[in-house]
Amino acid sequence: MGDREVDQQLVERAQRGDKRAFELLVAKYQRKLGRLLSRMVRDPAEVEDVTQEAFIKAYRALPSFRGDSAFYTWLYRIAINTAKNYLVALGRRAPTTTEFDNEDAENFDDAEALRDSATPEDHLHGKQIAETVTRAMATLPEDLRTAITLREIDGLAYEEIATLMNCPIGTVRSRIFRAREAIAAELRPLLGTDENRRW
Amino acid sequence: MNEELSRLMDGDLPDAEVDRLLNECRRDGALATWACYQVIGDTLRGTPGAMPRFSRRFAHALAAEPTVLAPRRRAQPAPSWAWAAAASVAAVAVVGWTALSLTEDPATAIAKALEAGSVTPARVRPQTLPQDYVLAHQQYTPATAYQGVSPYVRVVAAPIVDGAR
Repeated sequence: MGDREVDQQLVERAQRGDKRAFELLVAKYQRKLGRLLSRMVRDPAEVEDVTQEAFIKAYRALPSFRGDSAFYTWLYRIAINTAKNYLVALGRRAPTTTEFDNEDAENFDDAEALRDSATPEDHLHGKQIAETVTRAMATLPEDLRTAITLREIDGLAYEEIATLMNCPIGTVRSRIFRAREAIAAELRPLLGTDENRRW
Repeated sequence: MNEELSRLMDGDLPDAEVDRLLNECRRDGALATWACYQVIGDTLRGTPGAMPRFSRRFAHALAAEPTVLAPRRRAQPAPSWAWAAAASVAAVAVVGWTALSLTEDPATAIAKALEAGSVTPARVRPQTLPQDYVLAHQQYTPATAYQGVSPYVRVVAAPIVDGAR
């Protein structure tokens, strides 16, 4: 099952009234959408406002989402329109349509834009997260590190990883989970999240 | 439950288990774990950062929203081109069948012709009733004026066989 199918699972549940499913989608795409919008709305605080507004608009429009396109592609269009309307309302020039509509929503690369618009605190926070993840990865046993790298960076499915690592799928599943847990243990204090808190 | 969140993230969780997991997600910490796993994935792919204040802010905003309930989509009806194709196939089948039933196979036609050549006329069973008897009986059978002399002519004109008279 690919990323699109996972999103579809959550979208269908959100359409049936499960807000929790939509929150999972928000947690998944909030950074990606924030980075996209930071190219249009430069002020970091405004980026968060517009990102939130885009998600709320998407939530209200969920009944009209038919799954003809990937959820993120649909969300991307809503976010672009939200940002344009926001800029127009402020009397600022909205980017021309072709600047963003021709963008490949699935392969949007915008890390540089984030660096341009992030506050020094956000920049430091991002750097700390990256360092923590890198350090935690370095301390992982080789098989766990390989499994999560093949999954998260190379985007391979469990079956493919099992073939490459010459082990059962159940072992792949377990290795990826253990790797995530080990990294998460280092990361949680930095994110201000706790397993016993909601966020 | 965290392992199931990890599997859901990778598309490895069967559909039937997703509902159960989402119900369990109401437990504190599940969303935080999911978000943490997402940050790990984004960071490993080289996209930095987190929006630490965003999730809590958004949770409040979403809670204030009326719950969305999209009507279940009905099963997709067959597309119009499918109906057109089916109708075309049916029409071709009917026309073809009709044409085939009207056109005889040459071999069948020859066989029928040969059969026809070998047919011999059936022997007509000679009439054995006495002509006088039938003629006499004819006078007493009910008849209408419209029939005229036809019944009488038929009887008289019948061939005389083997001295029936």
